[in-house]
Amino acid sequence: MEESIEKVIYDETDKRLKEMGAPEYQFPEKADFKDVIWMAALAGVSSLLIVLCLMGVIQ
Amino acid sequence: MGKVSNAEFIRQETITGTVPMLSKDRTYGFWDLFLITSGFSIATWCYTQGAYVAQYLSFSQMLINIFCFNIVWILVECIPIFFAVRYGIDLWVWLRSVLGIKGVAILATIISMANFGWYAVDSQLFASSMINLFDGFGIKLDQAVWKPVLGVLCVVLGTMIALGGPNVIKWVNRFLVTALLVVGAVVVIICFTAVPISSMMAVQPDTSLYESGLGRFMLSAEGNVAFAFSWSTQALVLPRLAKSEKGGYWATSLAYGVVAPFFVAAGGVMALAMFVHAGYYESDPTVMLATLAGPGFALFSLLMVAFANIGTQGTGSYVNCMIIKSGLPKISYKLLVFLAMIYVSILTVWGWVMDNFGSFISMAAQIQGPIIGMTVVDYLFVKKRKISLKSLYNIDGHKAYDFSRGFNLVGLGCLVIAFVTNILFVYNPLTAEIKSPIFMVLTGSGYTAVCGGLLYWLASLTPLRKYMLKDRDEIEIV
Repeated sequence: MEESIEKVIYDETDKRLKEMGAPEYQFPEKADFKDVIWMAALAGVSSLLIVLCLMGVIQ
Repeated sequence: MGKVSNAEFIRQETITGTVPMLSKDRTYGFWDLFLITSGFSIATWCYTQGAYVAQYLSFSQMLINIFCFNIVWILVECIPIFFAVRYGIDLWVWLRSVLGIKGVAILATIISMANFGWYAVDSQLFASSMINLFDGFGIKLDQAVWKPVLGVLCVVLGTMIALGGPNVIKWVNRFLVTALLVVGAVVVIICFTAVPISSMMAVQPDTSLYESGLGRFMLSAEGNVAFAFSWSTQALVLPRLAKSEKGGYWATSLAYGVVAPFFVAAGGVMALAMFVHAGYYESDPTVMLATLAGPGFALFSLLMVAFANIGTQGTGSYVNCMIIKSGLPKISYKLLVFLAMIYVSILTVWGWVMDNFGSFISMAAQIQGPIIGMTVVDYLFVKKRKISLKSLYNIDGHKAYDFSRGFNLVGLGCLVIAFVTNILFVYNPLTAEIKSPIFMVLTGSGYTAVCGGLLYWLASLTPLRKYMLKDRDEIEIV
């Protein structure tokens, strides 16, 4: 039973990886440059506020 | 195994197992994932954390400490979500290439066993709330008897949610989280109307924790960084169900980086309001609200606490069983959920984790820190977003991630060095002793992440690169 479960998982994984590797497979919509800008902006503002606290500017 | 049960088994392995999830099978949009992850992140310990920070910092420093450290680290540790969404597999499957297949099996189990400690705390808080609730109706329950009974009841109810799988979790959280977010906002409004904000801002921080303001700020930050890290190993399990990279990343980041800290900040505001009103800090939201807004709101808050804890229990059981399953794929999801129920019930009745909460979260964060650092560095700079999916699953004899009998000695070595050097030279979480000025910049948990990532990247520049990157000639699916 254990072996057959393993084989079912293996075969299904193999089948799905082949499907993913096919040229017509549609991957989920990608993140874009706007996301990177938002990430950098949020991290930048947060880091700046932390630094201001560390320097004693914000008490 | 018949044909029908085979199909059902595959369906289960896709949703609650390690089989890659194809684009067409994804069920979670931004809002679904955001609400589920938020539901998972809202728990009573948020208030406890906020009350702790409120004592040692000024009002503005408290808000910056809570939100900014969480936002920065969550944004960083969630970067590999792009990978998880793209290929429909979770962080722990990727980690087979960083720690080795057997290394992942061992660490996934250790970390999940530690994660389940949170759920023992969760169920104990549920039990306390329920006892208070009955007390409000004039029914006195014997704590010695009812605390373990109600705690185990919370675990069982959470298990039922977990057994329902992602769809049940989705619907439970859609309802609960929306209500809880509204309640959180109401809680903050009550605090600000019960006590003037100027009075809260005028509260002088307690200096007993550390003599300098910088030390107090960073010791509070250690708690918040550990809080952010505590989600890391669980954070990248659910995004594999997301329909887009953008939705997966922002839903997870905003839930852990903004919603959870919002509840921590609410706990801080409530503690300050209590200090102004009653002269002492209080971390139990039910006591705070009963004092500040009367018994009606105490009942309201008790119900809130109860629902939040059951929802967290259910989602947490699903996520952590998935983590263990990624290392031990032969064990069925249902069996794991039942085993988790027994384990968390034992921890709940025992009560050790609750009694040693501070040490527990810091130690857990410092095992997770190096894994966060290595994952991000591996994804962005070492493997550069390309991986051999066939080797991850040992398909067709692809064995690039076998390393040394299933263990990646480089990855495991970086983890051990970061963990040990932190305890010896930077910060000891068991004694809360600061041992180096590095702590004043990175915190102890932050150091483990930076050190783990840096060492892993440096190793990739040496001849060890060949050992770490045996997969480069078999990258097929990109």
